[in-house]
Amino acid sequence: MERILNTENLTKHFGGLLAISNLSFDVMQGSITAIIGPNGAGKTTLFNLISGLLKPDSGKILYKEKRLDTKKHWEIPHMGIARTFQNLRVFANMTITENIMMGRYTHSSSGIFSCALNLKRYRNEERDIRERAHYWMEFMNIDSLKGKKLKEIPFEKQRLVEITRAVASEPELILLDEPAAGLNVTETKTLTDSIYKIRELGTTILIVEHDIDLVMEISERIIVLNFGEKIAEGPPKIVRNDEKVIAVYLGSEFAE
Amino acid sequence: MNFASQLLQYTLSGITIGSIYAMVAIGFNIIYNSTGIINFAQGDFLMLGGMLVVYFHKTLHFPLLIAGFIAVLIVGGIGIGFERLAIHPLKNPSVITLIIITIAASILFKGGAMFIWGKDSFYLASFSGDEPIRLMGATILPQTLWILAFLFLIVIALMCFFRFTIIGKAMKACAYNRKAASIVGINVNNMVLISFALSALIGGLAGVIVTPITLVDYDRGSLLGLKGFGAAIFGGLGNIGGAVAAGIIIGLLESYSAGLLSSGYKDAVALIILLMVLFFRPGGIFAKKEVQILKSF
Amino acid sequence: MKKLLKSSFSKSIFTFAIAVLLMTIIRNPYHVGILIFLGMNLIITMGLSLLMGYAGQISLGQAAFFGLGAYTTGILTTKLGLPIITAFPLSILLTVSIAFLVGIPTLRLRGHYLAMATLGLGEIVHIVFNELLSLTGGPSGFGNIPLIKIFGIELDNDYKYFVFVWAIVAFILFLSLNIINSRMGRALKSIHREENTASTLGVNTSRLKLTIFVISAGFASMAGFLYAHYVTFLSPGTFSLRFSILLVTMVAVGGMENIWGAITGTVVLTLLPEYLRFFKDFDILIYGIILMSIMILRPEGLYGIKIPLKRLRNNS
Repeated sequence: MERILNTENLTKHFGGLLAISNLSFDVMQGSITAIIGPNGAGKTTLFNLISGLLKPDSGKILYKEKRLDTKKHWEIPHMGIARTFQNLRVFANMTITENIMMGRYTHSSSGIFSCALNLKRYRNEERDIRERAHYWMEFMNIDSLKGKKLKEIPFEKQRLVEITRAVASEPELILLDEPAAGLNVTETKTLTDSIYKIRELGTTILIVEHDIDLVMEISERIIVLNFGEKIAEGPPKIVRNDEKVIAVYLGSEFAE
Repeated sequence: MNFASQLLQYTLSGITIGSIYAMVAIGFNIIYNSTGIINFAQGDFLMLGGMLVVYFHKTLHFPLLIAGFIAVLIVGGIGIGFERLAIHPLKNPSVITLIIITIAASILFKGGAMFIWGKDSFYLASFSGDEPIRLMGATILPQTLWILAFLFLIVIALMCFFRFTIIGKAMKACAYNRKAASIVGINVNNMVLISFALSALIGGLAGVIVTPITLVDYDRGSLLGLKGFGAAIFGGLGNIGGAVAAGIIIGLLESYSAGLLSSGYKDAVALIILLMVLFFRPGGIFAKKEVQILKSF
Repeated sequence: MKKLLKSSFSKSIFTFAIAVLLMTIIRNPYHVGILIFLGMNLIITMGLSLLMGYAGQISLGQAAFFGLGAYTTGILTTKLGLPIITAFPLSILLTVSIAFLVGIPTLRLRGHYLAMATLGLGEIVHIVFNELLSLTGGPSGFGNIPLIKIFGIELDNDYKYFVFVWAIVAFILFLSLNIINSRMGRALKSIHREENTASTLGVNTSRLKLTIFVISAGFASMAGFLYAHYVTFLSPGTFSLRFSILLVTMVAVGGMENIWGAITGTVVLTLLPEYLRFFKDFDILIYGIILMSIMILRPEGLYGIKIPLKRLRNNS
């Protein structure tokens, strides 16, 4: 297996606060890798660094051995990286289908003039965008939401819309930021199935999640962060019994 | 008049006009600090103060002091009414909605003033005569001294208010972090109300004292508001000391360019400064480098 | 058939047809003149709707672009004696280039800062119109701008000009509707509130904001061109801050997040003063009250207010 993403001595401060400290790790192509840690461990900061919303103070992020941290943030999705957000960022001013169609932005290229003049090339592309969006909605089992508005559907469905939007961009690496937050047991089960389905496409999945059971079940590799530092890394079985990790989680339900 | 005294003359009139901008800028800052709103009607508070003092003093023949006092209080009341009726009822307004609401208020104040007083310009006699004071070949109007004295008083009063009173401290806390302020039990809603009242009071007061120099008509507020905003940005939004310095700097530059270059373009000077600061140092010229990031809202 | 009616092309043709029909019914030069101005306002507010309602970027300087379009064609055709056919592209090109240059630093600003910066830009242009006496005639303006001639027909009366203006309105509507429903339209909507989210989907947000700013300036200069050759006289008063604010409120009153809202608002606020004429100088006050009430009671604008017909029917 080849690595698709890795960081080298990544560091990020916010004023006096050290959010990510000298962090190095690898993510293997086609794997499901989880990042866990207590609140404030720097997980979301790490996602923001990878997706380019933040720039590191020092260190490197490499994607397929190419520098990622020097890219502009809007260039990163074009390289095949998609993400979702912890605090749900769907576009309330669009329909659900339009939200998913936004996921196809990186796969289309019509400029504003061919759009404005309704040129044939653009019309063909638009048809393709719509078809692909519908395809991915079916893939994620949300085709029943076609034609609905966001405010008509419950929160957990909106979360699925956001994940579908990311999947619709057919990324090679997808970053999921707490996808199970706010979901009940059945909904989490559906989500787990979807994650497996995404992985079967060959997509590499990097996931930040608080639901430890979910993480232990799906991930092949776990990276544990605490105060921005990596304190453990490895397959679930090993991480679960790591003393440092247990100490961080105060030996609660985690160690069983 | 030789060149040196001419230069002194420009300096003096620059300081005068700059002090007016400073007062408008202070008004912007107070509301901005507690709400993050730029009040597009700030210049109109000044206009209302001027109109009302003229009305009470010249039409109703109240003594100047009482007329001025009533005018300032009424403008303060208008500020309170504006906040309660237009800002307070909004739930999660977008920035564009807020901008348009304060613009609507500005139109409303102008329209109201025109409805009551018409389109004419009004003049108010200086507080202590129009006999210019001679100073090394230049002249200074006694009203200028009143303006400077009031600016000084306003700044001192505000500093005491923010430093020594509970309400002032609470407002500062709101400016720093609204959420945290509400968690420690500060009633943020009241602070917003007080900031509008305070800012209207200062605007009204400024209107009363500058009218003898600028005259007043229903449309006097717009350009003053824009230049006052320039001063507020130049000094760093929220920074009252910075606003005073920036107001006077802009006044001086404007006065020099009017005197030495072209009077027609003097209004453009403040605007170009405003744009340059917005483009290159949006945190204001007095802010440290780290603060040069825009507050997002 | 239904699909055909829903297309941007048929909507534009339909708008044009209604306008021409209205003209033949009205048959009153004064009222036709008002509808010509309505057409020009619509051209500007459709662009502003794309910028403000869809992309979420406010501009309080739109009157400046309107003025630049008008003054450029006016000066080129009178002072330099260029034919209108050459002056037209040059006036659009100049306005668009200025919008592009000032847009680069301006659109990095957000919210209130953007509003104030565009306002300042608009005022500077207004001052230049006032002060550049040799070209603009200063505050008293200049006249004798030639009339437009198309295919040998001189547009010398209101009816001819009406058809010309509304054909362009229909074309601009066609362009705007196409943009809105395309991938670019979705990208615009995506940067409205969540600029970061848009960029994580691959949208180059700063470039797109600049593009739409330039397009809206282009529309405004188009309206300026039409204005110059209709009124044939230009003075700075027309292109003041007051007009910029009026344009923004047209879009806001009608409903920002939908182009039909901007159109509704423009129609209402262009025709309303004709009825408020009765109130003489109080129109500003009444206008302020209307604007304030709408922003407080229905910040999403007039468009889409549902008249509860259904409920009435159900109750009966």
